Formats: sequence, structure tokens, C-alpha cells
Amino acid sequence: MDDGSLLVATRTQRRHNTMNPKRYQQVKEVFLAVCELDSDRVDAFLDEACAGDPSLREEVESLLVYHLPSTLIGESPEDSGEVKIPRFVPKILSDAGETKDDTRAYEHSREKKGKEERFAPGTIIAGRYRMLGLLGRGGMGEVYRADDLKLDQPVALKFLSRDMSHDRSRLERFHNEVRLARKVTHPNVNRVYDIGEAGGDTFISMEYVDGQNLGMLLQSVGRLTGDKAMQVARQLCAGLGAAHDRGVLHLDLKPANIMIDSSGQVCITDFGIASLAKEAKRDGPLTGTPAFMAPELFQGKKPTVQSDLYSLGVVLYEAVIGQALPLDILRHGRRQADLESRDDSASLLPDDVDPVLERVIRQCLEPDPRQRPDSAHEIAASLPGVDPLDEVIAAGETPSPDMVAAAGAGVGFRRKTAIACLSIALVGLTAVWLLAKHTLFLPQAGLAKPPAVLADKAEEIIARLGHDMEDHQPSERRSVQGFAIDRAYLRYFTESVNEADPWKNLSTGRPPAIFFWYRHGDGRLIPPAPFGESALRRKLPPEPGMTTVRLDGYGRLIRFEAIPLRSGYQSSSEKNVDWSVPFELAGLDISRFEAVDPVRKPPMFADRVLAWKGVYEDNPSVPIRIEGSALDGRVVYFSVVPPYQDQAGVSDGVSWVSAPPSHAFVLRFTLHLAAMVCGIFLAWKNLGQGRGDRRGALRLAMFVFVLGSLDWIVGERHSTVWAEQAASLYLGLARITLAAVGAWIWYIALEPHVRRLWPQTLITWSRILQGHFRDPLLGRDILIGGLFGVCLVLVFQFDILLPGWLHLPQPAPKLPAAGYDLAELLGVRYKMGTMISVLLTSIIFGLTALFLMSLFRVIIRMPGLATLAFCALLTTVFSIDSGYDTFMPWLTNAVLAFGAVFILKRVGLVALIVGRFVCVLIMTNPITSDFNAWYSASGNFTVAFVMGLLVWGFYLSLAGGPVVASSVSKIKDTGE
Amino acid sequence: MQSDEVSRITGILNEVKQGDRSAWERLLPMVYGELRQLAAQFLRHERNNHTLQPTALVHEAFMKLVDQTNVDWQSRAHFFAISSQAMRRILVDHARQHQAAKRGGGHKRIVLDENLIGETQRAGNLLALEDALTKLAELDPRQAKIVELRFFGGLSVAEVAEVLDMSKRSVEREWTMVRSWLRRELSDGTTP
Repeated sequence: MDDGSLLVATRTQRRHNTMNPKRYQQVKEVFLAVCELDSDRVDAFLDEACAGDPSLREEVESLLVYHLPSTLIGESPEDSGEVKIPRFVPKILSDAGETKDDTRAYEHSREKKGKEERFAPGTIIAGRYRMLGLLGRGGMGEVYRADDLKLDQPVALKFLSRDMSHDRSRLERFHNEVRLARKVTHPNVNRVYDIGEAGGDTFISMEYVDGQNLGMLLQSVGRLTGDKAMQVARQLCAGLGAAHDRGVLHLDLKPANIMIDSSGQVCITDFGIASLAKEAKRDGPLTGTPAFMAPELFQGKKPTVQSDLYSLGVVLYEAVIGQALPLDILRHGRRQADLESRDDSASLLPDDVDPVLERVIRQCLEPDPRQRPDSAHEIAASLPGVDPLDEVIAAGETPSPDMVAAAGAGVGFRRKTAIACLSIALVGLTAVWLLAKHTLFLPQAGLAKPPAVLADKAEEIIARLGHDMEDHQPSERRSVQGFAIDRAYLRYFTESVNEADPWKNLSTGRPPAIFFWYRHGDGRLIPPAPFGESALRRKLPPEPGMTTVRLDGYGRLIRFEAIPLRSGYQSSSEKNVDWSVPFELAGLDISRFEAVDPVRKPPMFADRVLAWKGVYEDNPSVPIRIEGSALDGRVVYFSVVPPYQDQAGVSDGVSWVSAPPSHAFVLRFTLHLAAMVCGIFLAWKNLGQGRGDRRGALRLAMFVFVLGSLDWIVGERHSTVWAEQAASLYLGLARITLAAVGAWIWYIALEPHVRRLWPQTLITWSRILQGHFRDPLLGRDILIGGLFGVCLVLVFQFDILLPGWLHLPQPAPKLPAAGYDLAELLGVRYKMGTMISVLLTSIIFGLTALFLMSLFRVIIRMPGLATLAFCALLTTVFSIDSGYDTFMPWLTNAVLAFGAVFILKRVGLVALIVGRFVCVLIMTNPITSDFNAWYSASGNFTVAFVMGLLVWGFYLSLAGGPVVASSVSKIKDTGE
Repeated sequence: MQSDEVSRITGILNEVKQGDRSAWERLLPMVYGELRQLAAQFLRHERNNHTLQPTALVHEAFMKLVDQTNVDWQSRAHFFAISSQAMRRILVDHARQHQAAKRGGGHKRIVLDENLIGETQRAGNLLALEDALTKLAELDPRQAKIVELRFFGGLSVAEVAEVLDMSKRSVEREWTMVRSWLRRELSDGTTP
């Protein structure tokens, strides 16, 4: 089963025709001089020494290839006087040709061993196989052709040599061959059936290929021409890729091990020295065929997929050129550059060799494994013809993650399409920016003053009301602050106010839709953050010594709550309280309010409880009630209560009173829980069947963990109190770990289904997981996703504007979906934190959407109906997420849901993630075209960031060149 | 082995050391005969897991043939040099015989210790090596001799330098070159 030495023989002869003693001395001189030089000076020296004598240089260089520094081959230094003594195997002088040496170079020797065939034709062994004849002999044993009498099929039987069948390591290797080859089921990989024993002989039964090996074929036809070469290359890649998918490295790929049957089907055989990639070791026994082995293996490095790809390159080179790879290129990395630059390299390659194939060969032969292609699938995908991914899908098989990733190699965007996408997205973004002031919530919410001013104002109010830190040691004073949205406001004005434009007073803060809260005290101020929430949004129940102030965006008092630390209360000494002070602080005139009976109890102990009623001077349409309580002569409670808070009790979403969970929360919680349970079950099943993409899942989990940690570091409010910080750290870690583990489980559980159903949705995603961050495909997805995100915002905006144009009731300005604290208003650090957490939630959103969609598809077997049902679910989630449960722009949300599904299915997961990221980023940031607003820098930074993202995507998408590359030069541009 | 023969061989060896070329010619057949006998013995009792070490045989012959109290290390080197030449002949003759006995051509495959050629060329071919050495003898006889001494006699660099009357440094340089040359020649032959 071997051949191919003809090629080298001719080369050797050619060399010696010109050699004579004089010439030899000349060569020796130059060679020895070169040996003394540093490697970087070699070229220059050779240029000089061999000027005008290229054949001299060729000769020296061919020797240099074999000049290995002594450290490399493990020889002891020569001057020690020691010499490693050559040992000759005894059998060299005897009859038996087999040796014990563990090398493969001569394993496939074709010479006759002076031994007759072990089985006479017609012999029946193991009661099942009728021997037909010897097919070939190798170092391990002989391969016979036989008929399987039981199944009436031809098989090949590989027998271990008799003298080896007692050698445990040989036997183990024989077993290993079956074990590994069985892992791989692929039409282009020789099937191994079983291992058996007959009369003390161990044998492997395997698929009989009626054909010849590639080496024999090349001997008879010289070389493979264009189409045939491409066919063989594609099948080799498919077979090798299938082996790699199962973690099996072949390690001995060469023409002799590649069978081609009469119909042209290619079959990779002989997994005799194959190894599991994860079990491959550095400095293991050097096995393989030197002429086909990757250079790094000679250096004792660990074999990898890329080592096999190198062998593939050598095989393809031989196949398309019809000659062995020149030895100088074979073993010497330095020569690779020459292969690239050598002028006659083009003439070396026949004209009909496809330039793509040429590029593949060059890439495979890169001396640095990292420069070689990522996988055999990537090579297959780059070859013209049928897309291997389509082939697999058409066959109803599940492509491997590597194959999915490979499908996207080098695919980019057409320049025109990319430019169109970018321009539309940028125009859209500009429109968003200009319209933001009238449509988005934050720019209209009356954020008149920056948080620093408001905090100062809050301190002032606390002082004016007589709670100025008398209770605290200055060193213990601490404070927290933040913004919050009063969602009840939006509900009220959406549902109860019958005006043409109920939102006209939104920016006046009368009543306020957004408020600033400020709390100080000496106890715990930062409550632990539950899953997915920032500590900023949750506030502790009040404790003695804690003072909380709420202001509107203009710095006017809305609510004041103080719980004195030392009561020192004497019921007899009732002091008068000047109520005009808090009224003044609230921007109200006490004389315009009418005293009424209090209806609500203050949330703390008080000896006076009062109430007033009236209206805002500048917005008389809204009735308000004022509540005030005092203790021991000091105001402890003061609240401006708009009508909607009366209706809703004190529950306004930020209260400490435990409110019943919202529908959105219940839905989310149920989904989370169900998904977790299902996920664990499915993941368990998939792992058992070896289906999950463990590598991808691990990388995703790590990514989630890193992003989560960054989010915690940047976005969390860190306490100066050690214990509080430690608690926050543990909670943060727990939360992040849970998210990472959850991501891992879900990924293992559902990714295989998605990969089976819609592998195309995962192409970019798989490539990112493999570390391709500068991929043209990623660029394309960023561009499309970004465009989608901008369009989403525009849809929201037109949803607001359209009713106005049609004279319908004005809907509420679009505010971010529930779950976003307005932390980005507090400063750069929190802004970064928000961006990270938006990215993280977008990834989780995208994956969840994809996985749910696949789940729907699995449960509801009709594809159309499944998609429809999924869209319905998505619409519901969007609608509930929009924050105020009763107002549901169903139509808009349905459009969004269908858009998301379309992007997901047609473009892919990454595009959806980017789309959601961009959309939420814009919605949660105070975008405004009014440069005077204190938050304009923050908003405009976001716009600039999105713009940069789009441009980056555009830039990346072009790097891959045109999708349909026809001209050779363009292919070379992209490949090198 | 009679002691008179031992003293005779030792005497000749000392003459060789003095530079007597004819003494060398007289010694070779005696060493050859002894070595062949030893090799034949060894091969008769071939054991599966034993490798034939030419140098081990040469050592054995040395112990038998030479009165070691009466020679210095230079004489020892010369004895080994002679033995290496004999050893080469024995091994090659043997390989040729067996090759002729088999049908058809093709080189008899043997395995050289990996340290001989380096790990890339664990497998070699004795006859290919012989061919290469013959070729090398035409191009550079001295290098061919160095190979013979080191491969078949197991001489150290210092011993080679003594026998060939060269400096250690030049032996090393020649060795560097010839190693690469041989690797190339032999690798061509063994590429499957």
C-alpha cells in the first residue's frame, strides 16, 4: 500500500550528476562557514558567497536543511569524546524483515518480506471470512481482501504481524486504531467495523475500498487536473474535518493512506497512529511519515489539527503538481518565504490549478501552525463548488461547530451593499438624534440640573429642615443617590387624562415623571442587589439615622423622610413647626393650599400628622395633596402626592413596601425557572450523546463571566465599608457565576438543536467564539444589526409621532424598557457599566430568543406555525416590557418581533444581538440635539459610539473582499 | 586465544602507532577474522530484543586480541580504526548476501539508532549507507573515513583525530558537514 519514492530518486540523481571532489570542497567551505553564522545573517552570506553560482547555493541550502543544531536532536556535544553508537537491529542480518523499532517510515514498505502469505486464498477464518488475497503489507501487518460470508459483503482485514501479536503495546495500538476510527462516521473516512481474533491472529475488519490509493493513482496519471483535484481536495477536507470534529487527529495523512474508488469517492484510511487531540502530547514518540509531517512535530511540539492540515497541504501539492514537495520547502521554515516570492513559483504550478487551491496549499504549508487555516472545514468552505454547510443541511445532518464557523471564512459584503447599509444607518441615526427631543423619554423628562447640583440641594434641604447631621459623626456620614422614573405617572397620563397632548407638562416636572433621590445616614445604605439588578435601584427600608430626600429634576422637594437617630422625645414639649419651609423647598406656596384631614399614616413615628390639598400653580389641572408629619418640632415627613400615587397607594415601584410582583417579573421568572430546568435536562442529554459544543459553551461562559465582572467593577456602587463591600463582592460573584453557568448549560442544551435547524444563524457567532474578531462577516453583522437597531428606535419614534400627525391621542414618549436604572446619568463610570450590562443582556437576549425559537420549532413541528407562535410570544414580551402594562402598542411590537425573527433567521444571531444592543443603548441614554442640556455630552457620546460601531462594521465587512470573487488577484488579496 | 597471538597483535599495533603502514595491512585480516567469528556467534543466538552493536563486538575483539596492559589509548584508537573497517565489510557483506538470496531488488531495510542520523531519520538502510559512503569516498575520502570510524568503530572525536592525524576541531567541522550530507542522502532513500 505504498509507493512514491520515484519522485525523490530523480531529484537525488540530478543533484549528483554535477558533483565532483573539487565542487564538493567548495560546497563544504560555504556550508561550514554558514554553520558558524547566526541564522539571520545566513541569507546575506549566501548571496555573497554564491554570487553567480545558483547551483552552489542550491546544494548548500539542501544540506542546510539537514543541518540540525545538536540541541535539537538531543545529541551530546561532540567534544565530550562520547559518541552515540549506532545499533543495528539483529534481524537486519537475518531473514525476518520486521523490526521492533517504533517508527513508521518503513511501515508501508512494499517489498516482499520473503514470507509467504499467511492465508491461502479460500481459507475461511473466524468462521466468517473467506480470504481472497493479500492487498498490502505494512509495518504493523498485512491487509487482506476477504468476503464476509455472513453478510455477503467484501471487507478488508488487517492482521497484526504474527511476531507482534504478543507485543502488548502493538496490540494496544491496534485496539486504539479501531477505537478512534469508529468515532468517525463519514463517507470520506474508511469505516472500521470490528476487531477479531482467529487462531491467535488479531485482525481488524474494515470497509473494502475497490480502488487504488492516491499514490498509485498519481504514479499512473502523473497529476490530478483542475476539476479532479478540486473534487479530491473537497472530499479530503470533508473526511479530515469529520475526524477533527470528533477530536481525532490522523497524523499520518499521505497519498498511500488515501484510497480512491472507481467512482472517484475519496476515503481516508489507516488510523494506525491516530490520536485524540486532547491526548496528544509534546515530545511523544515521533511517529508519522517524515515527508508529510509538519515542521513543528520535528521540534517535539504537540500535534494539532494544524499538523494534519500541513500533511493535507503536502498531499494536495503532490496531487496537483505530480511531484513531491521539494525537500527544502518541506523541512525548512525559512524556505517558505522563498516559495512565496520565488519568481518561477507560478510556473511551477500548472495553469489549470485553481488559484483557490493554490492558495489553500500555500496556507497549509505555512511553517507556523497559527498561520494555517483553522480547520479542514474552513478549507472546504473556501473551495469553489457546493457549500459544505448546504450539503450537510440538505443531508439532514448536524454540522459541527467548526464547520459552521468555517462557512463564514472570508465572506464579507459587497462594497455597494455595505456603503448603502452604512449610509442608511447613519442617516437613520441622525434622524433618531434629531427626533429624540420630541420622542424619547429622557430628553423630555425635565432633567434640568446635573446630579451634583441636586445632591447639594438635597443636603441643603436636610439642613433647612433641621436634620443636618447632628446625629452623625462626620466620618460616618455617607450618602447614595440616583435617578428613578415614576412609571405610575406614565400610566396615569396614558389612561386617565383626556387631553390632546397629555405630555405637555412632562418637562416642567409638575408633577415629576422622573426624580432624583438622595439618602444619607450612617448605617447600611447599599442593599444587596438581586439577580440582574443594580444596587442603585433598590433601597433599604429606612433605619434610624437615615434621611431620604426626593427632588424633581429642577431641585424642588417632592418627598422628605427622616428617622431621627436619637429620639429624645418628650411628648409634653410640643413645639411649633414652620410648615412654610418645606412648602417653599417644594416650590409651592402654603397659602394656596387648603388644610384637609390626613388620610395616610406617615411611614415613621410622628407626633403631628397634617395634610393639605391644592394644585400646582403652573399646572392647575393636576390636583395634588401634601402630607407632612413632625416629631419633636422637626419635620420628619413631607410628601407632595400627585393623584396617581394616591390611587396606587405608596407603591410606586421604588417604595420599600413590598409590592406584588409585576406581570413582567412573573413572566420572566417563570421563563427563567422553566428554562433552567429544561436546560439542565437537555444539557445532560446532549452531553451524554456528545452533541454539545463544549468549547463554544466554555468560551461563552467565560465571556459572560468576564463581562459580568467588568459590569460589577465598573457599574456597581462600591461601598467604603469593608463588610458591605465584601457582601457586594460575594453577591456579585454569585450572580455572575450563576449567569455564566446558566449560559453554559443553555448553550450545551440548545445550541445543537439550533445548529441542526438553522446553522446559518450561528456562523458569525461560531467565528467569534473561535476568536475571529476582525472578520468581514462580523463586520457585515454589525452593520446589518446596527441598521436594525437604529430602525427599531425609528419605529418607536414614529410610533410616537404618527398619532400626533393623525390627530389621535398622543402616546407617552418612549422610555427604556423596565429594568434600567438611570445610572448612566450619574457619570462616566456608571455609563460604562450600563454599556457593558446592555451588551451582556443583549447577548443573553439573543441567545434566549434563538433557543426559544428552536424550542418552538421542536415542539410545534410546522415551521411556519412555530415561527408565528414565537413572534406572538416575542410581541407579548416586548409589550409587557414596555413598562406600563395596560398600554400596549401591539402592532408596533408585532412589527418589531417579526423584524427580530427575520434578522435572526436571515442574518444571524450576532446581528440580532448588535441590533438589540444599539436599540437599548439609544433608548436608555439621554440622546438630545440640544447641546445646552447638561446630559448632552453623555447622549452624544452614545450616538458617536453607535456611529463608530457602524463604521467599524463597515470597515471590517470590506476587508473580506467581495462575496463573489471571480478574479484571481482579488482572492490573493484576501488570502494573504 | 593463545597468549602468543595476543602479544603478536599487540606488537603489530604498536608498530601501527609508529606509523608503519604495512603493519596495518598485516593486522586487518587478523581482526577481520576474529570479528566475523564474533558477529556470526552473535547472529546465531539472535535474540528478539537485542540489537547488534558493532562497537560492542569491536570491544569484545579488542579484549580478546590485545594485551591491554601493554598499549596506550592511541594504540587502542588504531585498533578500533582497523576494526571499524573490518566491521563495515562484515556487515555489508552479510547484507549483500541476504539481499541476493531474496528475489528481486530493493534495499534491505535496517534500522539505525536514532542518534545516528537524528530523529528525522530514524530509519536508514545499511546498504544505502554503504552506497553513500562509497560515493562520499570519491568526493572526500577523509570524510568517508571519519564516518566509517565513528559509525562502525564507535571512535570518539579525539580518537578519530589521533588516527587520522587531524586536529579535533577539523574532525568536528568535517563531522558537522558529513552528518548533514548523509542525512540528506539517506532521507532521499527512505522517503516512502
